[in-house]
Amino acid sequence: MQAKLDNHMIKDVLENKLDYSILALISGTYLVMAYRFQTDYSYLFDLTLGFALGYFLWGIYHHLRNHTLHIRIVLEYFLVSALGLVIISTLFV
Amino acid sequence: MRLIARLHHYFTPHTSNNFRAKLLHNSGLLLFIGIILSSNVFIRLLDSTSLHILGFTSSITINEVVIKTNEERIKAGLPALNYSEKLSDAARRKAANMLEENYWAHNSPSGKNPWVWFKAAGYNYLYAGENLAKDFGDTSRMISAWMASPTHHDNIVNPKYKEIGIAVVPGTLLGSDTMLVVQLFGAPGGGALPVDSSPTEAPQANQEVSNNTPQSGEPVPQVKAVTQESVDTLIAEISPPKYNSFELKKVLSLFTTALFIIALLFDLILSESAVLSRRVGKNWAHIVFINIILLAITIVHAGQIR
Repeated sequence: MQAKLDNHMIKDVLENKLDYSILALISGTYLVMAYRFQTDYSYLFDLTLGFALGYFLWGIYHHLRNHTLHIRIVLEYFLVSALGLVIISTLFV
Repeated sequence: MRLIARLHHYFTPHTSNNFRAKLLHNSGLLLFIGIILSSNVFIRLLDSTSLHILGFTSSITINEVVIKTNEERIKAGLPALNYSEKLSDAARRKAANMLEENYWAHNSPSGKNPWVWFKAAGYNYLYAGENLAKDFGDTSRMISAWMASPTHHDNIVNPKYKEIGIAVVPGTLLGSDTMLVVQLFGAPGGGALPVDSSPTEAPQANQEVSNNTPQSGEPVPQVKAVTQESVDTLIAEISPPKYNSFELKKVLSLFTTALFIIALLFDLILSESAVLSRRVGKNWAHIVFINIILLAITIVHAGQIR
């Protein structure tokens, strides 16, 4: 089961190198900036908002390229992005 | 049996949930958002009651702040600062004024800059600087945050400063219980031209601001002295809350997020092994996104610096 999962994931990554490189770049930038501005709440919120928006747009772009985009998938990425934003923002409200 | 069937329904792809863990349906995602928002509201309500269950806890002491500040100076090849009771008096006056006027800044809403507290305490300075912190649970994290900020770092390792004064004062600021830390630096002076610096100013070396001795027409605030004994009494009178509200919010967020990740992992593994063809979002991309958010939560701490 694990081997099948690994094979599928490796195949998926190899087929979508550009997409996953963009996701890695967005994530890495967010982490570095969050570490740099960890005590500035308003900046951290803006930064997380940008990261959540970036992830939402990445999801649409990725599924558009793979011809698997559907309104339910758009809503799913929107809600996952919103969940990330809510997790961070509620800590400081 | 019913419980196992329910767990299958919520965490694994199954005929009952259209082959997608129910917690990962859009309704499930809304449920996660709802849980986090409602628990946050509950914590805030609990925080605002007089039960004193939640609040802010801190282990910061004046002694520790002086020791750790001097450790940073020694690491930078500078001499340690001497503790000044007059500077600490100025720091306590500044902290008391922040709580009284309810502000979190170097300058008060009524226009008092940091240097008036030096004058009010009778400290004649040649050079002076101020670092502020609030909401930190321990001294090490607070010093690390100051050292990570270029302007605060410049104050701590400024070779011109000879003395240090600290105030660690609990109170309610902007509607929340907190522990205020005012760190003042100074080089005692006689009649020479005084120079002030604070982290809020431009990073050029010690900007010239005003004369040290009160001039005619320049008001020195009439504020009663705040003794260390009165602050100690205040700390002793305030019984510490049972739980730190920030840490509680953090734990709740981590728990909810962990539940979401478990559902994503189960769904991912089982759907791949069963070779299910579904039109859904990428589970492992969601896992990466939420884990990055979790990492950010662990990086972030409650404290703020000015």
